[in-house]
Amino acid sequence: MKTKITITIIIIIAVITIIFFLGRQQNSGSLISPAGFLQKSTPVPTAFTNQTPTIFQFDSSTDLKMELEKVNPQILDSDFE
Amino acid sequence: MVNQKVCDRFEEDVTRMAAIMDELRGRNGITETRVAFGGVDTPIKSADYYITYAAEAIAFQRAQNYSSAAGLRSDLQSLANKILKAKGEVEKALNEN
Repeated sequence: MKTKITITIIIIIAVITIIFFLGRQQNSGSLISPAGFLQKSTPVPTAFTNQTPTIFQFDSSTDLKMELEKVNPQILDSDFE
Repeated sequence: MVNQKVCDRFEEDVTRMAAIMDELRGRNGITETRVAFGGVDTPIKSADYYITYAAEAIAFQRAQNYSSAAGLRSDLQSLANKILKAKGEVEKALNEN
């Protein structure tokens, strides 16, 4: 009797598990439908800047080494605030 | 926003270096097209190459999205190192000429 109950419970759990995974496969089909694809699309990254590009023009009197010294790429903590 | 702000600042540095190289080429009477893909056999060509490389790296960085500040900071630091490499090459070109 106990054996029959145990087997019945195992079968029920197996059926539920199979139904669960089948259900997931059906839902994954929505990925190939246009609506599903649009829902899962990632936002387009903003790659544009609002800053007007700086234009540098030097002439023969410019100290180019001094201008090069002004190049100092740094990441500041204040950038992340 | 942080990414764009820092990239704007870096782009100014690269623009400055490009202008320096334009002036240096003018002073040396060099009118040939800037090299971007190789044939870097002179300090000026090498500097031009690394400036172009840094500019392209900035453009690539602008298009990235980040979920963590640590990842963003790491990539920005890598970009800063590329700009410093370009600066080193420009310095060599200035010292040679």
